[in-house]
Amino acid sequence: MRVDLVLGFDPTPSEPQQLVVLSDVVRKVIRALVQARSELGHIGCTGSVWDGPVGAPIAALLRRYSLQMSALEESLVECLQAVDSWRDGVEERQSQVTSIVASVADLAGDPTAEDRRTRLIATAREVGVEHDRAAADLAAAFEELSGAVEQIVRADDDLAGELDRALVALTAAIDDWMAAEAPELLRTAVSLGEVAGLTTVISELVGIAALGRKPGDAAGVREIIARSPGSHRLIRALRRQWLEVAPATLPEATFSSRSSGAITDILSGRRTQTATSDSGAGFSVGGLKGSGE
Amino acid sequence: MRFALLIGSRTEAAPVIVLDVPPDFYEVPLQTETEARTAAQLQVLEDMGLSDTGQREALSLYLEALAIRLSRGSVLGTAFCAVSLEGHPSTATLTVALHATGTADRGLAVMGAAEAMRREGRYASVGIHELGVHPAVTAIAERPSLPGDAANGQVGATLREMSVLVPVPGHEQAAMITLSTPCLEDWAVYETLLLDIARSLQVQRTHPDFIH
Repeated sequence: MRVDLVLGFDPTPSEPQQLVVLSDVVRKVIRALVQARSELGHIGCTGSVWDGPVGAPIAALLRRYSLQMSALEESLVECLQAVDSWRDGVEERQSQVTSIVASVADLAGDPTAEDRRTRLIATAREVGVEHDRAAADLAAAFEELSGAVEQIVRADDDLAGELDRALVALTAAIDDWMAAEAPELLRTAVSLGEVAGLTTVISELVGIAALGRKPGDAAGVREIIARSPGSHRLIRALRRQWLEVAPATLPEATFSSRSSGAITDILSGRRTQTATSDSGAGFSVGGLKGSGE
Repeated sequence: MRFALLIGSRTEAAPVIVLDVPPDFYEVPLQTETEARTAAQLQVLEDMGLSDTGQREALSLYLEALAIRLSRGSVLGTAFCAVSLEGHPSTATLTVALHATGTADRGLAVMGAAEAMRREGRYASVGIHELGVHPAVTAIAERPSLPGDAANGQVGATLREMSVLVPVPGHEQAAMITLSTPCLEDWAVYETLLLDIARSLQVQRTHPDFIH
């Protein structure tokens, strides 16, 4: 039954299906904003790689951008609440109007029911007024959203320009740092790798690793053999095949998360007792001091 | 086991960088005093439970040769483990250096180091991570297990290594820790271990020797 034909007007015009679509769209936008904001927050958080004089301006800009997004997000949440509330109200009011329309239709042709018909139409007009008031609330929520967007657009700060300048400054600082520090850093890295290789030879001497070639053939190992007080014996030792005297059993690693003691337990002092003793009490040379616990 | 890297001279007031290392690792003794070094080397042989005389002599000679080699250069410590991991033998080495970064800005040091390592081209991957409260650079590379070319051209086993650079809060220094292993099947375990060790970095205001 068409409301406007029966009553002469439609007090609660609205299309509930379109409201569902609008509500879903707003929800999706909010989710995307929240995700973007939390990722920005993660990048620009203090205590991170940006927490220094060079990175701090970038982190500050990211936080400012994040705050703007937060304001937008709040307005959108209010819009969503207004849309949902409007949709619930529309359903209720349209149901009321449907009931009124049915009653008015029933009274058609009855000359004694004029007063009742007038009262029903008056009630429908009241529902219409309520509907207009709710529509004004919905419009206000979107006005607020529009204001929040305008505020971001109108803000006299040049976020993009400032970010660009901060990134250029960061790039220059990194280039300067690399020019001064990178060669020594890379030498240290190479040196660590070489020493790691030399230390790995111990695993071959212990009989648990086969390095695939005789350690004494490697230039790095030959260099340390030359400095050894027992060179000839060391040469002989490095030529031997030690796998045959490999230990029958090795202690279970305490640091594997799949073994009984998780790494975090070990490192936090809740250590698992194993066949391995805590070795290395009281070493010190140069700047290094190792001590068994 | 704890690696304690001394910043500055060895005095009570000198700050120390401390790294927690699981007890599975045997530190290669690097003391400058011969007696102390020899005693520590013997202790390593005991702790490892080696019974073969020839093997004990070989390891003893090698530990001494390694100590002499490391008496120069920037590497401050090295340690190794020989363990059973899920039923098979496994080994890895840990090496530590303290590197001057020329800045107390940890972010700059990390971003600069990461870029330098990327450009150098030796690493398969370079990344920036937050390890607890520390920004850090991680770099992974693979290379022949033994340093230097072999006279006969043999290549040998592959060693996978991961280096972590962790700037020391409040100091123009960074700890550089490298873990290497020829046991590639155990890589995931060692990678997690190294990140945990790097995460444990802390600065102590008093050298452990002076804590009573």
